[in-house]
Amino acid sequence: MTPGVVIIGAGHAGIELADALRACDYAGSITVVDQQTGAPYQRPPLSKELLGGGDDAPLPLRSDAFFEQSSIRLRADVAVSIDRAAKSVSLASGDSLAYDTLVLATGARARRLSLFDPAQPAIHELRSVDDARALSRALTEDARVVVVGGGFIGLELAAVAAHRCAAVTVIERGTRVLGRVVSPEMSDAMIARHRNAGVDVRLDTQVEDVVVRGDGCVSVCTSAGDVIANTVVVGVGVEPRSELAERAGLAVRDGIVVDASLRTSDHAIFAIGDVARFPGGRDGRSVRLESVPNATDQARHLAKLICGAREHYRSQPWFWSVQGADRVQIVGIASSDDDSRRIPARREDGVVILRHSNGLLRAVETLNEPGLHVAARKVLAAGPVPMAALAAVQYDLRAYRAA
Amino acid sequence: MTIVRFLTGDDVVSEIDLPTGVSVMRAAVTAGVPGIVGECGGQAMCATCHVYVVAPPMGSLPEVSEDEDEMLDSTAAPREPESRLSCQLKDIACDEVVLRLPERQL
Repeated sequence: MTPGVVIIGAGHAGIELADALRACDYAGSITVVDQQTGAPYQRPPLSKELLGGGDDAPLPLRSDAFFEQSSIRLRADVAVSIDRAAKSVSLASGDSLAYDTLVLATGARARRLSLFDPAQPAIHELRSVDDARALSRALTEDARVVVVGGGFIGLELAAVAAHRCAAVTVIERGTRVLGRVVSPEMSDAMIARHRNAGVDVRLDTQVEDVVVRGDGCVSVCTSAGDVIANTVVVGVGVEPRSELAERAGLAVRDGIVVDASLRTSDHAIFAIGDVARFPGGRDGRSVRLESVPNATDQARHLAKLICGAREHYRSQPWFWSVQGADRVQIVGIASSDDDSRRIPARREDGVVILRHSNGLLRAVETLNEPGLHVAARKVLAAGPVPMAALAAVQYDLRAYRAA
Repeated sequence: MTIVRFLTGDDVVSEIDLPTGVSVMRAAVTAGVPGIVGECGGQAMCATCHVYVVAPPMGSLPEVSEDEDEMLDSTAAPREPESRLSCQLKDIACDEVVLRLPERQL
């Protein structure tokens, strides 16, 4: 048998690729290498269900039987280096794996801040199921929780903690929450929800020092005063795990750089998922997207390429977040200088914001409006949407769809 | 304990036990029922765990929430009156549930 496909990373992207390869009748060998032992699992529920005190077993990406029946080999090992000339990957165990096609689906790791020592038991991050379990144990009734970072992960777990714990403070250095991903209008809506739920959200606040006290509590010293906590969660975004690619001399720039076929600067090596920087932005600009739909879309596309198709990767990015009872959904990629137009929501607790520039609709953000999110996806999938045409139907996304 | 049978056409392709408090999607993904994806992890966000309910009558299942109702408009296979998202089906008060799998989830 030929060496086949070697996939580094058993997250959503890597496992979806293995499955999709078999689905398009790829007959060669498929090996997935990941340092985690145990069955590959889904991450999105970690910051929501699992943390909320739900089922302690993570939701698997596929059943054990699936891997066996599909002849997909999982190896608990760490890829250390790539010998591109010999087309082989060296593993920490000392073994090496030959490949015809190598796929880097290494994902991202939680970004760390030097002030916060992850070895301290009171200091947490949230990326793996072990992180989620440790954090879930810490979120007790009398816990005083500080969340550093007002992004998706930070706010998702602040919402869970607000439900369970005595006090929750979110410290965000920017002037608004979710600043990287949504409009100022949606940031305002979300901050109001969290404050209503009892979360103390502090904007424009820098962490200046972190002191672990003798009793195990942590004093988080900020530009706006000290906050005492017994549980601190650092949720300040992620960093692409691109070291392997870098060491192999592949092009890396905040992610592994790939072309429209998801191919790296080496013909036999591809990258997909959170780690891949691909030309999927507006006007062909390169972007790196941190989302499950992006990971699985790219995986399915790459499977087709490996099985012989010849088409460029095109997709419509979408994102979601669950924050307490609130559900945020976004379709499209907005740029920070896009304009925003708030249009009437259908539900009392709903918010709908259109992001637009140069007369075209670029993205739609919704809060508690899944129906309008679905309509927006269909509208944007059909091609460019002039704002004037939307205005003509009073910004009714469903009417526009029908027109 | 409820038994859930999955049909493709009229053929039973899988049969699983549904423990209390566990959604049909989760039980199906864990057991490897082909044709249930559940890409969003069970938050009624992706509509890839779509099923058609054959039995029991729709009225004896947990009620369809507004969120589920709206997300059902984005299933890959046609929505029917019997359509549900299986991530929202749990704690079903009957011994046997029969669900037909759609032709596609994506």
